[in-house]
Amino acid sequence: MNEPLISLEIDMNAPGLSRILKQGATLERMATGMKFGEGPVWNSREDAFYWVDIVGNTIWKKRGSERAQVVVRPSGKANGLTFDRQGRLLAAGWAGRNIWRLEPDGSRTVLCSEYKGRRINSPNDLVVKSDGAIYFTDPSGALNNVDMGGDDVQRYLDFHGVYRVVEGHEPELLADDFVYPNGLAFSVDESLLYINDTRQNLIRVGKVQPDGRIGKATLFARLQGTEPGRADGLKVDTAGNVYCTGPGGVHVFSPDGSQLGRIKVPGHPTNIAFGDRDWRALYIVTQTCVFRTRLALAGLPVALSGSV
Amino acid sequence: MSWHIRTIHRVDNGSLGGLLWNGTRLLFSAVEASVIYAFDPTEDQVVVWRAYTNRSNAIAEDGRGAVFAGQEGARRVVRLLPDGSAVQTETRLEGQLHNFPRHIAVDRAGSAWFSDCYHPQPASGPQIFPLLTHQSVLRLSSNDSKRWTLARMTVDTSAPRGLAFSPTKDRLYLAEVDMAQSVSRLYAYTLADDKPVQKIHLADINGVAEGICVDDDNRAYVCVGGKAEGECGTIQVFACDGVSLSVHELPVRTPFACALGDADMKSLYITSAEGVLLRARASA
Repeated sequence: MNEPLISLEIDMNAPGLSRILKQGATLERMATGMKFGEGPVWNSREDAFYWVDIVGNTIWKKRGSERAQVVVRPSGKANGLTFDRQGRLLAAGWAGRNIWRLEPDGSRTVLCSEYKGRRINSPNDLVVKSDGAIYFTDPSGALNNVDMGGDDVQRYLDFHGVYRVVEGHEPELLADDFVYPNGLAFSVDESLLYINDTRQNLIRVGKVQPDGRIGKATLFARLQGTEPGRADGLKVDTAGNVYCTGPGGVHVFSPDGSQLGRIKVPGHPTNIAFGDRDWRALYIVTQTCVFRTRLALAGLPVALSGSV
Repeated sequence: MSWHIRTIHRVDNGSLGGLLWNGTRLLFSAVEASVIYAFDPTEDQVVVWRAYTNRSNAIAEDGRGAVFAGQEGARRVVRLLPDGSAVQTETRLEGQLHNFPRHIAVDRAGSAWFSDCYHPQPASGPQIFPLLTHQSVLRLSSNDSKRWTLARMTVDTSAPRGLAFSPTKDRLYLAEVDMAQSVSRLYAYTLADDKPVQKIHLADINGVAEGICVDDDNRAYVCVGGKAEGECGTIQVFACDGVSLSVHELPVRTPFACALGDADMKSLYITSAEGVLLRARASA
């Protein structure tokens, strides 16, 4: 079904936004009917867009104009998604309280579920560095939120951490001083890791050390606005601009932290992903819908070996 | 008979809610602080019993080694297990998420009956789950402690609050409030096959009633809030036929729940919205 296009509404704070958004750009509604949409990611091998419905307990994918297909259901109320270099789907197990990988045979491999012998909270989002290490945020939202918990909703850790995990190794705690860490993304050269904080409605940035840890994350930008949405999904484009869902839409910041503007979105935006073959589409997930708009700049690809 | 009332504990970051005597200690919920404390009367000491309880309010022993906790933060009743975990029970009544559990009482089969109320403070997470169109007493039941079912036990309540079973568990006491008039009514439901069969109006109460507990002589102790600023809350004691036996003023305006405890079961512990835990004993 072809839905009518929606004229893109933007708040432009700086001319830099005009280098990102095309004249006459539109919002295309790609999917509807979710109870709580999240977790968007583009698979460049399949030319497919993946996302989740957390409350609907489903991971979805959609190729072109085809109907959306169920990838995993029940999904353990998976939240953030990405792919590893081998093209295997990685999920932040929101209710399952783990990071897991979908294997080609359909089985799931849990990569992390504990920190120092204690069950972690509820992983929210994740990103893979070029060396294969997985970085993820671990607030406790699924333990507290209505209808999002799993088999055990007791919180055991006194902090909401940011972790780095390499398969076969214990997870490393990178930061324990966030109120509610959520979206995260590397800079173009992976020298920086941006992490947002939903409760504080801001983005912090830390320098990535040679050993993969991060230095003290300092304030990068604050999100403004009273519309629905808080700092949630976060991604970076090939020019180093930082995109973060927040009040009323997607807030775009230059690499120096100044706000370029905001792409307005109907509803409550939750997360974003770059996609399409040229990585110049921005997919925007709200609680109930998926939108797409085309950009003049490409986003940082989710790199799969041999396909980028 | 007058009461000697002592302040046992005070929190300054919110209210105190549900409480239970477990045979040796009194457990009580600090609702907004999301902590359940334990008071040991022999040591005269309060310690954290469970943290991160997600606005747990009502608590009750389930008779199978766990504690039911009504989590207002997530509109659910969980079971707090001895191993430290918290497992969910059924949250849906005929497919719809129930409201906010407020007070819990456990019947002889180990089922949790709870008043399922509206609440001014929203639960955590996206507000995408509508409230039920009614405020009723619901019952959580399970044969194996794993699969739970939820059933509506009252169809004639509009604002249920405290509830407690008689010693023989064949009667359910229930307080209902009329917030607009700041008055309440105390009812008793007679039970057959663990279902209500008859509703008896026992007493009118001038004030907003909350928690109830019942002693071995089938007397009901009802927490009643003071109606006006500066007016003391009370514990009002009723005989099983609804006759008012006594009224005891408290040093707080808004008592929330009460439970009998201590080795002789002759102390009445009372929590309050002001964050105070009291212990009352009859003066010698």
